[in-house]
Amino acid sequence: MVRAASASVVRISAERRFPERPLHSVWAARELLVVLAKRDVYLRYQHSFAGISWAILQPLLTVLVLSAFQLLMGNRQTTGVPYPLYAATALVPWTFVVHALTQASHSLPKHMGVINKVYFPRLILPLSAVMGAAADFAVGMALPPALMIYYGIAPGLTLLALPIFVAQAVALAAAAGIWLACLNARFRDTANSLPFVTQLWFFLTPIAYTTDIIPPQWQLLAGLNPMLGILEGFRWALVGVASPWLGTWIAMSWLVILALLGSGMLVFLRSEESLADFL
Amino acid sequence: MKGIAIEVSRLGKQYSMDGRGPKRAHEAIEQAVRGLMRRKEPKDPGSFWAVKDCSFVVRQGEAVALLGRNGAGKSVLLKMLSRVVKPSSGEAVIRGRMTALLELGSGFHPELTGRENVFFNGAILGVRRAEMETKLDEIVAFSEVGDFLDMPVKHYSSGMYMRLAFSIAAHVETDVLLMDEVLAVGDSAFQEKCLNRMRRAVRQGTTVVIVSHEVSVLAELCTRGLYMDHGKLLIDGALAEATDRYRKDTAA
Repeated sequence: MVRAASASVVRISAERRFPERPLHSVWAARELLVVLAKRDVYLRYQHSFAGISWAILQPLLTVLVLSAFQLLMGNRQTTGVPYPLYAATALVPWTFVVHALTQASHSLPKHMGVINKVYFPRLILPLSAVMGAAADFAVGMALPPALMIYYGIAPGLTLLALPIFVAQAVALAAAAGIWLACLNARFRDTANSLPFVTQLWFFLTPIAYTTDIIPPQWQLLAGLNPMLGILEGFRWALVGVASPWLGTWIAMSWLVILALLGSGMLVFLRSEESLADFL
Repeated sequence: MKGIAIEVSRLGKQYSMDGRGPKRAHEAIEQAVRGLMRRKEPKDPGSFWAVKDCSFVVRQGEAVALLGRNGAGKSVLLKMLSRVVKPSSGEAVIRGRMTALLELGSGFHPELTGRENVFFNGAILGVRRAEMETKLDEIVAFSEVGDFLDMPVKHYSSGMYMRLAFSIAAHVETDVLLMDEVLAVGDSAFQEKCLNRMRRAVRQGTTVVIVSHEVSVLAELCTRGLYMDHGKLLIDGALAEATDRYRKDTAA
């Protein structure tokens, strides 16, 4: 017979309490995490003609539109990097983070049926949504190198730092995803307003424009937007563009992400055992 | 004397009448603050107890039938034991690996093939993929889905779907099995097969708690009966005692 891998002693109590060894139980359920993520990706593209190439088409089309605007507005070049490449290096991680946290925000109501019938660490659900989005991210990451080849730009040694910023993007997606999943379980306004909020966020973040547009007195404050450190990190690692604030922004971004991740986990784990009651 | 597998003391579950938690933002914030300060929240007066003050003990290897009319609280009790729902009062301890089958085929997706759903369902029940792989042939043989294994389950007949779902459940090795009306599916021949499988599990020492309305089926598996009504455990005794009361109450 197959052996079920549940704990040998289960204690159930009405006491409000924090789950015992929550990270251990998530790790124990890692296979479920992977299966769920794979299933998400598979189902997303199953009846699609372009399939996972959407992961590249989406940032590519956005880059084309932004570049067209840039030309119409007078083609201001300040970075020394062709604008389409400059935009693409930020758009790919941006698209991933927004896609991941949007999917994560829907993850609990989407799996309501299972939550109501089977016990497993619920943290698996937003995390698997992020993992599924990361598959698209991996495909989308082909776009900046393709443009670099097209423009004949070779990466420098800064490329070695890229994994830091990839990890940073994944951490932000997970942190925001856990928070949003939790909020959306209680207030469906969260997921409903998310497209609008992320659109505002897009304009507030230097993706389509360069960071020197931010007035000097706002440069430090802008670093509180955790996306800024990540996007500038990608630009620096891939094409060597560095703003004077780069180091500060990266550090600020990590601080914001870690604070979000820690608080998000606490809130999620505290409310997880009553999820089935209010979903 | 055998060890204790399930120990339930004064377990209860209260639901508010509107069926939801606090709705407005300030209530939720209040609740979150109270939660952080580990204070008990005041109970909403517009509420009812789906299960109230249930206490019982199940020894290892016992097969217990849980009976009662619709809405008596049987499923809520099983949900609390399986950790799907958090109790409002009391506590319970379960010793050994526990598998709760509150439905068959949890997480089955119509677009995925039978094979993919087997692994997904296994993962959700906490079975490792490697172990699932060793059992796949047996599960497929038991379910009789045969060549349809690699077809999306949306094309399955409902009988095939249930047979596959039951087969996965029946091949999960566990110490404590909680079942909510998922005892026998398919045509009468397959139902007999399901029952044989269950008899074998009981013989091998699996502790079983079964919710079912099929008294005849319960009689084949269980020796002990629990009878619930309006959230309260009224009878804890021999199976006949519980089934008699159940027949009496449903006949009225």
